[in-house]
Amino acid sequence: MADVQIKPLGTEAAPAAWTLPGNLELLVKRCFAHYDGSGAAGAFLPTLRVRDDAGRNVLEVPMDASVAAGSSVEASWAPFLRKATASSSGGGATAPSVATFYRSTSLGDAAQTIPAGSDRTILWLHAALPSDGTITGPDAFGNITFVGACMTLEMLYTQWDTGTFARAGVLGTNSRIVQADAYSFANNGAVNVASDGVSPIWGEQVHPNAHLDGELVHAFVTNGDTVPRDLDKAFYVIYRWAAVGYNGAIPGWPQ
Amino acid sequence: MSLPVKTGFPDDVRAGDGWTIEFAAVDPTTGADVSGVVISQVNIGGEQTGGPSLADAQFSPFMLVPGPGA
Repeated sequence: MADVQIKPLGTEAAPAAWTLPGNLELLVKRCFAHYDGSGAAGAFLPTLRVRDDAGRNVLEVPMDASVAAGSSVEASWAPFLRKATASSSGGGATAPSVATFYRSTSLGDAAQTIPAGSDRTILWLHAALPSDGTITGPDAFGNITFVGACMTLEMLYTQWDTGTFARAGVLGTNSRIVQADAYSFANNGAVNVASDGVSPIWGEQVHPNAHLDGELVHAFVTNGDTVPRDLDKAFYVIYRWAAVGYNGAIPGWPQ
Repeated sequence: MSLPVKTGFPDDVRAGDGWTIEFAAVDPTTGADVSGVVISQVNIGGEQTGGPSLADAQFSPFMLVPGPGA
């Protein structure tokens, strides 16, 4: 039968109850009510109760957060809505934890010289780490560690000295989606000056990834020229979302 | 202006004749009902699985049907 919308009550003191009339059967999909707490005796949780025809509680769904006495709220219940997840280390917050590893001659750092025809791990001189400890590092080898299973977006930006030569930035070590050590080819072998004739261009690599607890990544660069080249700037930005129960496969999530 | 609050509930809540849907205000500590809270604008949506058609029906104290002598 069709979906229906029922507006069964006027203005009533809580608890306000509506009893289904004879013969009506309803698959409840959503409920809404305005709660005026201006005269409330204390803080309260808007709560939806469903009782059977014998008056027994079948379901009781309180809201996540209490409402202070004197405040009013619009309360909605629906299956697709979710209770807020308590914030904890490695756990479930909607906003990602973010880490930024960087070095930049614009910030007064020395350039990192990369020998001719060589790979070198980027030596991160600065690290802005999330306070929840879910991304740590770099260690002495340039490794960055993920704490707790997670999904990530990893973005590496590199800028070299001016010239025309083969070069790349690489995100290596553990990869659950794109193969590890995938070389970026943006600007590889091209002149390192943008179309305005002045601005240095950036090499970029964006890497979707997923990690088990304790997995590592590190970023490195490769200089394909026959002479040493300077890596002037590098930024490695990681967005990390907790994925408790992730099993290490190529993720469609949850698995 | 009132702030919105939202939460989920099971997707298979079937209510039948004589069942009650109740909007309560509960003390966060004791679980007891809190007095002085006023409920309005109640709106319940769902799929009618039995009974006479209720599409966009209104049930409320102000929907009184005049009697024969009115």
